[in-house]
Amino acid sequence: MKNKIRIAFDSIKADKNLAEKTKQNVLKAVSGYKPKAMNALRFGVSCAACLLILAATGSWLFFVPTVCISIDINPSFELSVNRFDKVVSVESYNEDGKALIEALDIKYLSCYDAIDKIVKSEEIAVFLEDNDTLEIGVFGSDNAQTERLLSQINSCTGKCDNTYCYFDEDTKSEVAHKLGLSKGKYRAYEKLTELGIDVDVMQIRDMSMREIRELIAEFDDADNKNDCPENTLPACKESGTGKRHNYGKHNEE
Amino acid sequence: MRSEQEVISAIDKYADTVQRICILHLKNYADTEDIFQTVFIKYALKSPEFISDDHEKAWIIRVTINACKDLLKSFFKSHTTSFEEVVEEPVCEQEDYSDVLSAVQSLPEKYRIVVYLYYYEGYTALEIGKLLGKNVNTIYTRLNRSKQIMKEKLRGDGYEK
Repeated sequence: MKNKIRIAFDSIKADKNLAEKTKQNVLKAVSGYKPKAMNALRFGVSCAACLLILAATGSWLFFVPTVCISIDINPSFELSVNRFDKVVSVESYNEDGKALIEALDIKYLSCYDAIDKIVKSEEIAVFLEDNDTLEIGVFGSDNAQTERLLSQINSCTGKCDNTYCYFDEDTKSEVAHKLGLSKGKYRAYEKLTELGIDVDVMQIRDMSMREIRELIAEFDDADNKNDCPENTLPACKESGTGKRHNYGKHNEE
Repeated sequence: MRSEQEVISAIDKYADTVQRICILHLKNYADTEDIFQTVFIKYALKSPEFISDDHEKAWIIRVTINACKDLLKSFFKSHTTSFEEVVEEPVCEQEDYSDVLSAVQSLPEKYRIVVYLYYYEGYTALEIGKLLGKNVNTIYTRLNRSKQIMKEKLRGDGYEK
């Protein structure tokens, strides 16, 4: 049996033409083959390029701010917030603002946590106890994120007196920054100029928001009832109007 | 990567082995041609360093079996029958033993290769088990079953145990 099987298989031979054709085809295929090291190099470069693109896209998504939050009392500073509601940069616009942001360390916190930390900080508490006014402005496009952030900030500041939250389109930031003012303060400065009050930018920079509001209120007799900033939340408009020294009261319920 | 000379030498040396395994699995020339190319291109580009001729031969056998199985598993193959397959059956050159070859080919696929490796290539059951990735007892079972089937098929044809 074993012999028969052996002889039977032994009689099977590869066709010579097939062997020759295989040689030609294999050598042809092999001649176009690049060494493995080269392929590995190409693979490595491709991977590196992909990683670079991913890293660049990721950084762009993370570090490009989509909303600016201007915080003004006398310390005046801005938080740049990315699309994930994280604070990616903090910029101060006067010495008090600089000292405050150095003390608080709020970079890369979520916007909610950052505002909460600011509002609950001792430095801010001192200003609020002195009846100063804290204005928190959300500057950006009128979209879901600004709406969400405004709502979060509103919930953070809900129990704080003399605090305003508002939304405004981010259209004049370049002018504001050129003048060395935060967006919130520039907004107040515009209001002063609209009323014909001749105030120097340098003066405005060092004025507290309460002083600015008092100045506006003095000249804005006709519209004394509407001295709450435009675009403020309805709650603010309802509760923060009219009184020169208490116009900042906000969200009292 | 193997040199041209190594590739040519391997084709000369193992063409018959590859042909025999192809006959056990495939039934037409075109498929055999594909398997030849697949096996020897792989040999040229991706074969490991062989420590002996036996090692090299075992690698060729393993790769050929896998290539045949891959081809049979492909959707096209599993859903079609070639014209050649219909009209042509591989035949043994020596008429006297064509019945033996036919008997081997009539075995279930998993038995055929075991018979070939055991009776023709001279591997032990243990070596066949390692080569096919099967338990040695499975190989023994397949060999015994193959013997029984072939005995029945070749009864009256001078079958010797």
